[in-house]
Amino acid sequence: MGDFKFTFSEDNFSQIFPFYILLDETLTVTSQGKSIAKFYPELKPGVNFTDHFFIKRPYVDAFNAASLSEIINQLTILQCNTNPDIVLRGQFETMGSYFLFAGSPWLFSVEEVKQRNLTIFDFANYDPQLDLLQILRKQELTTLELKEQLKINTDQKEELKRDREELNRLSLVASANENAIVFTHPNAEIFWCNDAYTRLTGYSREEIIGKTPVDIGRTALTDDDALNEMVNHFYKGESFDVEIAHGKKDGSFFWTRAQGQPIYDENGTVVQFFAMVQDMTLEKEKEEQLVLLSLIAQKNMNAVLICDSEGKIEWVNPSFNTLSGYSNAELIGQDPVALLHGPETSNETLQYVSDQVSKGEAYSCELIHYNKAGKKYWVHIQGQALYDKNGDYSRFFAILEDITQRKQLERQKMELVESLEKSNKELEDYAQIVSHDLKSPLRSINSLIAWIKEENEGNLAEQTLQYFSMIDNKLEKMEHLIQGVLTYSKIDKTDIAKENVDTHEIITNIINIIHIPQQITVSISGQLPVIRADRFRTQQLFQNLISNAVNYIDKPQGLVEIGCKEEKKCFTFYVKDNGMGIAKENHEKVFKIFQSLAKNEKATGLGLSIVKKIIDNYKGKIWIESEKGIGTTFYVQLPK
Amino acid sequence: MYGIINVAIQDYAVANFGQEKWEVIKQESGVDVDFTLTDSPYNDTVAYKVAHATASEMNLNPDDVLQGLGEGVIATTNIKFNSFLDSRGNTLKDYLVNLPSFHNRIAMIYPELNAPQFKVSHIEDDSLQIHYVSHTKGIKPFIKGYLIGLTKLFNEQATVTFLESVSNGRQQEIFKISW
Repeated sequence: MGDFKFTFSEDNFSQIFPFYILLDETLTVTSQGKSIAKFYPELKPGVNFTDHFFIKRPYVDAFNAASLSEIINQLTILQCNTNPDIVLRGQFETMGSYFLFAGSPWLFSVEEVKQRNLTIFDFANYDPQLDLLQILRKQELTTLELKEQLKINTDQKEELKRDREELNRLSLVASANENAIVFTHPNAEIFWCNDAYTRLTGYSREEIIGKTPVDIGRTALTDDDALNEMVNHFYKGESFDVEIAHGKKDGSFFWTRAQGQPIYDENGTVVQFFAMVQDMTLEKEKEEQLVLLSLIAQKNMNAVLICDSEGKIEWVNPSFNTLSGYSNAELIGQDPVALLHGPETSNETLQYVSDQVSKGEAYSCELIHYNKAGKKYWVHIQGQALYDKNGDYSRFFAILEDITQRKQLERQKMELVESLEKSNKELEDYAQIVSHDLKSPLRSINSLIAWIKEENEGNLAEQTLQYFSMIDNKLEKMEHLIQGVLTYSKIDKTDIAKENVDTHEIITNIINIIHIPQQITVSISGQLPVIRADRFRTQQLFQNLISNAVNYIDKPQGLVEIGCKEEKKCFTFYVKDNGMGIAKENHEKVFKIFQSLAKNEKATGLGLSIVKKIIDNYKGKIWIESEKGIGTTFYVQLPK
Repeated sequence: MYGIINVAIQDYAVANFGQEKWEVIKQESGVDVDFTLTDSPYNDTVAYKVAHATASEMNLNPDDVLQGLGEGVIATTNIKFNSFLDSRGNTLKDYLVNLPSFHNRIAMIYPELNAPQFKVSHIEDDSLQIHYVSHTKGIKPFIKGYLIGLTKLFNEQATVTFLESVSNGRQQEIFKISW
């Protein structure tokens, strides 16, 4: 390596380093390259370099001669103090006590060259920067084009992805659709169908593919007009929408709504046909049901009324017209309350109806309505609010039955019952008064006879005493008779108190307390039941029956047997004797009041009447089985 | 180029803690950069935030994580961006002397990149000092790891010692590398 010394003039040096800057030890500019004046005119000899530039890189603690010495021969970036875009890139070298900066502007683009007031001649020929900027520009353009291509590519990819997703969605919609979907070629051959179509028709996919929808769906019930309409539209390449019966593999059919749509290619030629077959069986059934319900409402003998959500009449059936006397024109849109109700219509009942409607609950009531002529009539109304699919109150309907006649009958019946009750009461009062009034003279007669007998003791002839005895017997019978009448009149429905009554105990008691002649045996067969009845009346009932049986036995050995048979809904008691028996023609007669068949001194003719009245009050039955001379059995059936 | 450090951080975290943890760490750090793109500009705060999120998640010392990250940067650069390490000196010393110049060139080429600033001083036969100039506080262990990574890369028996932090002017972290 030779020991050369390079000597340049300023001009000469400026040719090689047109952007050089020579600084003295105070960092004052002493000389500069020719292009610096164009690039940064303010940098003139004599100015302090640090007033205009600072060292951006490498890092120095301060910009002075000492720190410059540290970064000699290092890549150095100088940046203008006032304009960060003015940047010089190069390196410092020492030249004696001077610092020489050899470098060039750092530019990012060809445009910036012009912007900085520079041309190609301002750069040294060996400096590749401008060529590199051209390469960079070319690279940038290529990158830009690539980016544009990439964007197009990405957009297309996105579009494809969207299309694929859309296709997947549509495919899913078609496959999973509850409605049957078929695709056909233009010649009507099916080339795709979803599961719903196989399910609805009962055919397998293999049986369907290659056939036409008509092959698959035509049945004897298919309406030819609808079929022709569909086929015509199809072959014309038009969409269609028909309701038609569609056959199933098993020979049955279902109602469908078939909607078809041709699919065209970009030239407008039909390439496929798409059809959706909706199962309308349920809708049809509902439709038929609706027709039926409409007919029921229309033809109902009762009046039918439908009001809208505002409470205005929307529809009535002919019976309503007949009942109210108003025509449809006079009724529709009217408020039924204002139109049909009048002075005697119960406001309380109307309030009840209003409350029920507002609560959405059904109501049932009886009301007085007035017809067009102002004549009032009774109706029984049953109504119910109706709600739409969203659960909102939409209207209410009411069925009105004309109950005017029934109301009249009810009133008549009520009047009759009241009148009967009054009569009964009067009769009872009468019986009580009569009995009381009759008993009083009887007791007086009894006392008077006793006094006569007492005062004339020993002086009365045998015959007279016999007469007195007969008077006593008659008085006693009279007393029984009056007591019987009183008892009979007191038996009424109001005293049918129900308690547990042990009939076995009661009948045993009766046997113990009544007088039973020695030759007569009264027995109980088995265990008698406990029944729900009034204790006193039960005793009266059986005491009368048993006494009767005992009293009318004409055999040397009398037998009376009491028993009971339990049935599902009742108890049937019997009192059987071996007495004289009762002739068939008298079986009914014996229960009538004051009807005594026997010439018994004690018979009042009231005993069996009392029995019958008690049994009637319990809604029971009494009947007789008897054979003249052999005996009689009284049956008493009491409901449980 | 911008995001070599970002890529390196991700590689380090995935290699040491697994992909699943890395997702958590990323979430926790709140750093919103694409760690797979070398086009995303890097700055020191990313390393700092990721290190702290990692330390918290893995229950580690943040400084140890930062140092690990620094070492990881060299490892990743050597594997994935080998050309950046080539032609920058045959020895560790040459490499370190050129380190400021290299980053200064990078700073010129990628003006958006806030390239780290290094300074070399006290160049001796068996040692030299590296100054790291940064605005980010607490990044010291990261640089130490970076330098240790380099000693390992060149397979040289060198030690890295932290000397001092100087805050005269801009913050400088000064390390001594001795052979």
